[in-house]
Parts: sequence; structure tokens; C-alpha cells
Amino acid sequence: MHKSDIYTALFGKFILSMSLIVLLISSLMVTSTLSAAALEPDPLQPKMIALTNEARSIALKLQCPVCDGQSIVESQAAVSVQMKQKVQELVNQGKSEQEILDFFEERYGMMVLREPPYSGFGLGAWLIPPIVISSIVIWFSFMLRRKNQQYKDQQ
Amino acid sequence: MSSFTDLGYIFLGLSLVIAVYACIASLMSVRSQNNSLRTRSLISMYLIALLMVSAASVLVYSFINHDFGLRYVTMHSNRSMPLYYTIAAFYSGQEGSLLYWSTTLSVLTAISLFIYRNASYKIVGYSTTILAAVFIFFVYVLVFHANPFERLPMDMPDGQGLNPLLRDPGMLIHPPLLLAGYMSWTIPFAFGIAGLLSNDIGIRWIQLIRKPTLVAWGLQTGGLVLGGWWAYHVLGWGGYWGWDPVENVAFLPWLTGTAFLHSIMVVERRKKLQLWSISLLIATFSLSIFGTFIVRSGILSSVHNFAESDVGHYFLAFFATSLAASISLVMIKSKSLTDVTTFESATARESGFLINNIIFVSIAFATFWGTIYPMISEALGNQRITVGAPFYEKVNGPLFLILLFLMGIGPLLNWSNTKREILLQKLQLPISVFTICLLIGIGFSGDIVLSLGFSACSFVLATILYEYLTGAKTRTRNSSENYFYAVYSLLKVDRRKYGGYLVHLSVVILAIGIIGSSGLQTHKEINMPINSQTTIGEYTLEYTGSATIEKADHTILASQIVVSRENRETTREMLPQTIYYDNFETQPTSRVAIIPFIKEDLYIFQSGVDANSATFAIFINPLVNLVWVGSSLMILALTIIFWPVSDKRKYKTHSKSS
Repeated sequence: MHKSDIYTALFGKFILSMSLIVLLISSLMVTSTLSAAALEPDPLQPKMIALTNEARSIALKLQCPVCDGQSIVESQAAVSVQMKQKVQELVNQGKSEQEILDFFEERYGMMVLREPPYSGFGLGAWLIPPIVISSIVIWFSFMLRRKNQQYKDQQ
Repeated sequence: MSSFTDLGYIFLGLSLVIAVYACIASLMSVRSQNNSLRTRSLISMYLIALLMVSAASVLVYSFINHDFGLRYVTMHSNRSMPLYYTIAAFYSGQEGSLLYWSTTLSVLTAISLFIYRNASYKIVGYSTTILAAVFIFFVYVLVFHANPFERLPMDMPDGQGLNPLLRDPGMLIHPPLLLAGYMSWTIPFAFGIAGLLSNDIGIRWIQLIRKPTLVAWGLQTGGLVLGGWWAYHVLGWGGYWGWDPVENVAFLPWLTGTAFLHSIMVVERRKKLQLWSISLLIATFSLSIFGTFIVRSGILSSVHNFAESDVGHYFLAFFATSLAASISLVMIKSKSLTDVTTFESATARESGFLINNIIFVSIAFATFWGTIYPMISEALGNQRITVGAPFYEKVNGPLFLILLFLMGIGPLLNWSNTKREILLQKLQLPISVFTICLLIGIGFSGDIVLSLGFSACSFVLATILYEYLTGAKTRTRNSSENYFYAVYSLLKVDRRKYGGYLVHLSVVILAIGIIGSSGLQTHKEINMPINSQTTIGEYTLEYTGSATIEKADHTILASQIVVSRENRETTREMLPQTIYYDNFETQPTSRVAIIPFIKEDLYIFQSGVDANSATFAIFINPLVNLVWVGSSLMILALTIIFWPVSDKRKYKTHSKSS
């Protein structure tokens, strides 16, 4: 073996062992900080309750009143946490999904429902897309038929 | 008092003046056929790029230098932030992101104009005018209404710091990529309108516009995917796409842009749908301006927020003006453009493209409508109303399913007409694969919607495989290539066609991932006392305790969960965390703990910790890996299509044809 090759190999081993040591020390440090700091509850973190699957599926239909585009399930805002607790409570009381949604709509207004209602102004959200889409389709097929007719007539 | 940062403002002012010159000069150069004027306008655009990069560098420099005399720097950074977040703070606020937008626009403009400087005289001239005009708007807003170089009356000792939600590695790349995606549609738009102005929407125009469109599409795709990646890892609700208004507005230009990418193929091959394609391009550009405006104006939370930001009004005015101008231009020129005209047959490939376009536009419309409906409702003085994920799933879900089927049929159609027998013969394999999958799916799970989704994916897979294999078969017959090499050389020879199929393949992979992870997700929310156990799927989780860790500018609250898997010896540790940043204690952010197994992700979100118990949301997300695999493959396939054909081969094909 050439002398310089030996040096290279030695150097490689040195680097490898150094990085192993660094890795070991850092992982020790992480575990020690984890175990050293005794369990201190955080006063800032709102106390949470675990949602059952039924409560969660209802909570997914409720909008967080103070955040953009999140349901109360996703949101960690204090009001969402309270709403989640209320949902669970109402589910436990045996209230139906519709009753629970109505309960929240009464208090927070229509905006709390993530799915616009099938009545009143909410109907506009549901009806306009199908109307527009079908008119696009009808317009195109009409145009095509007319142009094809013209083309045939010309021939 | 003058300072170094005033230099940035001077650069902005200078580029505004030069842009006005370039705008007028390029327009005059087309009218008067004056070559030196044209050269000067091009050089001005290069100069602007240089000035804008310098201005942006000044801002980045003041961030690195902690210049807390600058209002923007003070608002968005502080001394204890690590360097990468300090630099990323550059595009975290309104002024900075507008500066970023216009800087990247000026650079991309300079590059495209340089590459195409010898292309059609008129098109290059007119596009310079349009690009300069768009640029003028943005720099005008920067100079007069959103100056990032505004100084405070006195220097502050320290800054506020970056919004905690933005302090994530994903946030280093996602916003700049998304903004770049919005911005980059300006280039194809400018080329498109220039083609319209010079009555030159032919093959040359398409060759000019194709690559900038692919670049914009790629950037937009990347931005959307990274957004999903970020949401999945930070927001902690187990998903990556929530039909959030901000996501929706980024999705809109992608939808119309994808439609445009398909429709220009019809323009190229059959000289049809010119009017329609131009309209799609205009829609895409307008929607990207709309997106930038919506994200930046605060109109989403409430119409009333909007009134507070005057930048919003400028955006609305610009949006309306550019839309009105483009539409009237299209109306003036509509006589010379071909439209749907005659389609020989419903089974022609162009009909397939047309249906594809109609569906993309329908999805875009439904999404647009759902996003703005709350604003309409509020503006009309009604109750505030919410249009959330359930709406989009119900309305767009079926449309996406049709699109998926179309992806399996479209490539089998021939241009102008397909004989019914041939089509039926080609469809034999896909249809039988589809039927078998559907029957198995319904038989096993009983879930019709899910089975339909997966079978539609198998249908498209079968078509793509069929196309590749028949292509490779013809090659092996005509040459000595073996099968695998033939598949590879298909990609090499007809890169657009087979590269396009590769994009379709990645879309199918993505679709399987989306259907799997949303339809088969298992979820459990549970409050666990210390040292208690719970099981989900084949995993047993033990909660062993929580701890707080103090860091320079934040505190981490982490819980330890030991995971063991059925029939496996080894255990793994998971550390879901909540992070409290100094100055932002009321806005904790989370770090979700995820173990990616091959078939599924185990995903734990810590939703609360108290003295001797903690609450977790635990998810099993099956097939979610395919979402990331599919989207990476999509970008890769795009790179393959985009990769320049070497001059050697160009020469070869040229000499062969002559």
C-alpha cells in the first residue's frame, strides 16, 4: 500500500470516529435535557379533551370563527377548543348532528357552518356552479352543431 | 438623513423610470420598425433586472445586518433568529413579497427576452411593452405605497421577529416558489397578447410560448406541492389540502394554465381553438394577479379588512384594467381567430382536448365561486357565510373523476377522427382492467366511491402502459433495440408525447395517494396518562412523558411516545412538539411527529399537555407517500420534456428530412 493511501485511510477513520463521538454526545444531551426538565405543565396550552370519532366528524363541519379557512378540529385557538369541548358534550348528551350544528349556528351565525346550507342565501353557493357548468357544455355543443352544419352546407 | 438603505429606494425609483421608457420605446419600435430603439428597450429591460436584484440585495443585506432603523426589518426579524429565517423574512411581509415578485419578474423577463430576442420582431416588441407595463404597476406600488425601505424615526434595539407559522423549513421554499409561480404566468401572457397584437398566432407563436408556459406551470405545481407538504407537517390535522381560500386561489391559475397547456396542442396541430386558448391564457394571468392580490389584501378574513389596506385597491384596479383591456383586445381581434369551428367527429382527439378543457374550467369556476361567495354574501349585507372543504369535495370530486377517465381515453384518440372499431379495440385492455378492479374493490370493501376512484386510476394506468408497450413494440420490430431500451428511446425520440404520458403517470400515482390517504385514513384522538398505552392499526404507542426545552428565542414542549409494531422487535421513538416563540406566546405552532412506513404514515399531533397526561391526535395515513412520489415524478417528467434537444440531434433530424 502506498504511504499516502494509509494516511488517507487513517484520516477517514479519524473523521468517522469524531463524527460518531459528536453524534453520541449530542444525542446524550438531547435525552438528558428531556429527562432533566421535570414535567412542567404549560399554562399557555389550553386543556384539551379527546374527541370521539362521531364528535370529530361533526367538528369537521364547523368553522373556526377567528381563523381563515380552518375547521375547529384543525384550529388551536381558544374558542375552537371550547367549541370542541361543547361538541363532545352535546354528543355525549345524545344530541343528533343536525341539532348540534343548529346549536352552533344559532350562537355564531351561518358562517360557522363549513358547508353552506341548502336554503336561503347558501343555496347560491350550491346552484350557481352546476348552472354555469351546464351552460358552458350546452353552449359548446350548440356551437359545434351549428358550425358542423355550416361546414356541411358549404360542401 | 441619508443611509445605505436609501440606495435600495433609489434603485426602485430608477427602474420605474427606465421601465416607463422601455414601455414607450418598445411600442414605438414596433410601429416605426426602428431597430436601435428596439435594442435600447431590450437593454433597458436587462438593466431593470440588474437594478431590481440590487434593490433586493440591499434589503437582504439590511436583514442580515439587523438594521432596525428599517421599519420592515424591525417588523419581521429579530436578533435571535437563525440566519436562514432572517433571510427568509425578506418575503414574509407585504412590502417584501411585492419586492420579491417584481424582482423575480424582472429577472425572468430579462432572461426570456434575451433568449427570444431574435424571434418574431413584432412579438418581441409588443411583449416588451406588456412586460414593462406589468412591471411598472408593481414598482409603482412599491415606490409609492408599500416601500420596504421606509425608515423609522429612530433605530430600534431589536425587532419583533418572524411570524411563528412561517418558521418552518418548508416556509423557506414554499412562499417564494408560489409567488414565483404567480409571477411567471406574466411571461406567457405577454407573449400571448403580443401574438394577438401582431396577428401572429401560428406555429412560431406556439414555439415561443410553450417553454415559458411549462416553466410557469412547473413553478406553480412546485409551489402547490410544497404548500401541501408544509400543511401536512405543521398544521397537524392529518391532511395536506384543506380547500383553504389561500390554497384555492393558488390552485385557480394552475387549473386554467393546465387547460391552456392542453388547448395549445389543438391550436398547433389543427389550428382550432385559438380564441379559446387566448382566453384561457388571459384567465390564467388574471387569476394569478387575483391570487397575489387576495393573499396580500386581507380581503379573505373580511371585506372590511380590505378597506384598511390601500394596496388592495391598486391591485383591484390593475386586475380590472388588465382584464378589461385583454378582453376588449380579444373581441377586436376575434374575427381573425379560429374558434371551435368544425370538429369532424366527437371521437377526434381535439374533441377530447375540448372536453378536458371544459372540465378544467368547470373545476376552476366552482373553486372560484366557492372562494368568493363569502365575500359576495358579505358585500351584499347578508350574514357571513363559510364555504369550506365539504363543498369543494362534493362539487369538484365528480369532476376530477371524469377528468381521470378522460386521461385514460384521450391519448387513444386520433387527430380529426377515430374509427369506432379501432377505439373500442384499443379500449379493450383498460376497460377490462377497470371492470376487474371495480368488482374486486366493491366485493372486498363495499365502498363504491373509493372503488370507483381506484379503478379509474387503474384504467388510466392501463392506457398509459398500452401506449408505451405498443410504441416500444413497433420500435423493436423496426430496429434491433430490446424492449427496455425501446421504452427509453421512445422518451428520447418523441419527448413531448411520451414525456406527457409520464406526467399523466405521475398524476395517476398522485391520485392513488390522494384517494388512499383521504378515503382510508384511520384517526384517533386520545387523552393518555403517563406510561399508558394505546393501539391503532398494527401499532402500539406508549406515552412516557413530556418535557420543556428552553432555546434561544423559543420554548419547546415535547412529548415522548414509544412505538412498537406488531411482530417486530424494534421500537421507535416519536416526539410530537409544540413550540412557543418569544413575542408570539399566544400563537403556538406544532411539529407533528411522523414515521413514514412504506404503505402508510404514522402521524402524531400533540394537542395538549398537563401535569400527568397529554392529548394526542393520532392518524394512520395510508398511501400518502404516493402523493409525494407522484408530485416529484411530475416535476421530473416536466424537466425531461423541458430539457433542450441537443443541437446534434436537431441537425440530424434536419438533414434527414431535407
